[in-house]
Amino acid sequence: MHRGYPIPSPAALGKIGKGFVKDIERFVADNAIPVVRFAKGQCKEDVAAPYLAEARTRGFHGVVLVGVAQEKESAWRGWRDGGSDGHPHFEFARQSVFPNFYYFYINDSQFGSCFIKVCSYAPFSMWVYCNGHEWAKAQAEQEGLGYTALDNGFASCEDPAPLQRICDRFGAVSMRNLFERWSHRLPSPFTAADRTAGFFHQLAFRQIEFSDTRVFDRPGSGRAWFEQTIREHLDLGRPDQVALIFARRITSRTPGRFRTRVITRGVDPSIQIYLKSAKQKQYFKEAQALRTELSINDTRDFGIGRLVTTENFQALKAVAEAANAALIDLEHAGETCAPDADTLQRIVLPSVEHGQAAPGLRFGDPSVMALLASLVCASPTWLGDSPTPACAPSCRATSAARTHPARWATTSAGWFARA
Amino acid sequence: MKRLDLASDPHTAEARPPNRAWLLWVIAERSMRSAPEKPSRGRWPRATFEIPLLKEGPWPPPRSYWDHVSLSVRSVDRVFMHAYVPGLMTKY
Repeated sequence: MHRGYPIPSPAALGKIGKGFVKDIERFVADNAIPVVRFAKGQCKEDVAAPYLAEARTRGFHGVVLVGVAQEKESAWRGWRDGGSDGHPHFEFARQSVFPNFYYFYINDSQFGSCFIKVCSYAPFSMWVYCNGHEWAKAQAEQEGLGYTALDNGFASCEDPAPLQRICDRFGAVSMRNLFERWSHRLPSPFTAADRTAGFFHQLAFRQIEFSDTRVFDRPGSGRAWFEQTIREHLDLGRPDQVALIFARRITSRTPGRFRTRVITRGVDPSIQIYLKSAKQKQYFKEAQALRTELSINDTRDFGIGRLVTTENFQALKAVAEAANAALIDLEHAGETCAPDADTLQRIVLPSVEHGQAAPGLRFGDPSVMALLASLVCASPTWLGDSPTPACAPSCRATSAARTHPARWATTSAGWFARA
Repeated sequence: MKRLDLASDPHTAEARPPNRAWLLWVIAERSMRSAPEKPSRGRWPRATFEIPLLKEGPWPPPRSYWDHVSLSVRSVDRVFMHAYVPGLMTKY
């Protein structure tokens, strides 16, 4: 009503939408920005990549490309529903339509590559995409911190501690600043009067990923370990394991499908675990680094609000970092224990202790392995120490298997001394 | 009596092999060394061959793979945000 229309009619929405599209065309022409119409199924990132790379090369900060794509959207539509020509009645409802979406690809001074997507139909929603790693890279460059990039992450850094501090600085304020900076520069369907009347955008989390990247100094061996870990942890997606990772109680009423997915793209495997709409993924990035990341698609899954505020962001970060750390700890604890060369030799070769000969123990022999497992279980009693969690899986020797070798070991002088 | 404390010994605590090749390498490497003070009475034949291992070569007795992390970074990765006008989202 504040725009001067006597009644709320579909014509008003149409006028605003058409005016918005004209503003975009004027903006593109004034700034000589290339425009691309995306084809169906085309990877938009691949199309925009050369434009963004070229902008980075020449140090240009601004909109480098505008892409147009028809996409599905739940938009407002109005129609006449009774009344007379002089006093028509209109009905409004949101329906699925395929309007034009405009992608503004931006090389931002703070965020590097990002984009803002706007819809030309009411309710004129916008989507903002950015990357925390790109932001951290830009901050590191501004602070003169040397690093080597690994895709969108880091392969090495001359001083890791300041780099982690930079990453920790990223938060809701950074994301809101990005949106505020560009929403005032790009064409908008809303005028200053609209904003004063309360029609302004609010930011909500649609998807956010928290990652933990560990770069190995011997990536080939690291990858071998990761592939072995995948084989050993195919049960990670089970409800009891998911409850451990996310520290949440899982009941039969917990929605979502519990599953573990191992996906191999080319030769790079990744393992994925699900809780409601959240997904935890672990993979070997660029064959150099182990990346563990939690992708949160609905903050309500963790009882956290959707608005981009510092409180919500910190709460999400706490959940994600705890989940990522729990997964790594679980894998760490599940690694196979094995003695080093000296210990192995002392255990498996025959020896003489206090003048008494102790026989050799063939490593791998079932009875020997059962005996070892029994000793590890009983080590708190004999050695005053507790078995590490990593030993627990190996302690499942049957009581029948334990009885005879243990008696044999007790009578074989020197064996306990070695063990 | 010298006691070997498996849980606290730095060589055994959390020592993990990359795979079975590691165990073979350990046995072969030990066999190819000079004769120990107490020979093992021929129970373990000396290896006269080299076992081809990973390109990088075998690790010395590894404590953990996590000890070979050269850089560890926790950071936000991709973020998608939805900007909406609350007054236009619903009919009323």
